[in-house]
Amino acid sequence: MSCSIFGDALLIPPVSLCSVTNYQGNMEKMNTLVNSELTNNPAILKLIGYNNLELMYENHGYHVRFMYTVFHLNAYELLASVIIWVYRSYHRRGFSYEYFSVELSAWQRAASTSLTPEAAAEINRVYQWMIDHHDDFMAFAESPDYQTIPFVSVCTR
Amino acid sequence: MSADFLEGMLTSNNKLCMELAIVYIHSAESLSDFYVNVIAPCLYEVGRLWEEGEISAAQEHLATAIVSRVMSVMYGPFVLGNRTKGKAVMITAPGEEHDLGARMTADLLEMDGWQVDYLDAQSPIIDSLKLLRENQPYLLGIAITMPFNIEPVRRLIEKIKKDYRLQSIKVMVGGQAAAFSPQLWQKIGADGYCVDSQEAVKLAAEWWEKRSGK
Repeated sequence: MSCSIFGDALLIPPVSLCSVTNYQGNMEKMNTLVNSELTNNPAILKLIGYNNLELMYENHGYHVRFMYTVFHLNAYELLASVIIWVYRSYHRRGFSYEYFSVELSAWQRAASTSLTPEAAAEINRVYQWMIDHHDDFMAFAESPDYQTIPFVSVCTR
Repeated sequence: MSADFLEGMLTSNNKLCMELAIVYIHSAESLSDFYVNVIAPCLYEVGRLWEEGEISAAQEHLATAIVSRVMSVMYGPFVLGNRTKGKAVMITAPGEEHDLGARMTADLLEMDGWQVDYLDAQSPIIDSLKLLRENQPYLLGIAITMPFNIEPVRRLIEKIKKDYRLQSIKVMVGGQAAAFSPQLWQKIGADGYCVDSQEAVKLAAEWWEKRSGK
């Protein structure tokens, strides 16, 4: 395991303002689509560790709001850091790691259905980056070094 | 002390926590020390236990409610010193449920001579802006815990920096969400970032001294 995902995150191309605006206008629709797809997944209860579905819906609501921030600010280092925290926190509550793969793919489909082709392409590039690094996120989430995730500076001004 | 206080928090033993605080706190300095060396580490530990799935959200809320009660009782007698610095407003990110960090910072700033107003997360952005226009503080501190609450803070700072009546306010951010990425505070338009309440007080004092030309 290395810190490469943090450096790699910085190479993700920025999402254009036009696409971010398109994303913002369709957040609720995409959230509904993802909730619906996952609710209808026959394995969903196993995927979420037999937690209440409300906990999953809550996560999706948080996700779409957070991703707007990521796209708007091109804050991919933030994304890498937070996604590991999310993996760890939800996994400790019984969610399987496979849930995240299923969820991220569902967000890609929701973007393709809801956004303009240009916006979907830009947004889904970021989701593809997350999907490609699923194993890295799991490894970081399980790492005993989790608390010391490599940010050199804490405060500069 | 921290271990006992944590045990009190996790077992809903308000009496134990209050007794420990009473024994420890006898001055403004010891209150500050209690915040930084007892309460803050215990809150971090409670957060960690929640993240690890070792306690439920309800247990986390019970534990923090005890701290809130202790703080409310203990800080009063020690914040009535001279107001040697300017006005400060401390707020929690709109929608945020975790407000103790902002409250601790508000109390510590007050002990350091600031005239502090504290607004909780239930205050709409429009009310926060109104308060800022009316009070014209020198400093605004914003605590963000959950990453999905970054956006309303960014919008708030954007409104402040675009408003000629507010744009001179120094804005600092802190809290877990701000700690996730070292560049975030700049991206959301803040003037500074603090890792904890003690650092916030130091940064505020630095800014104030520079302004005063000391």
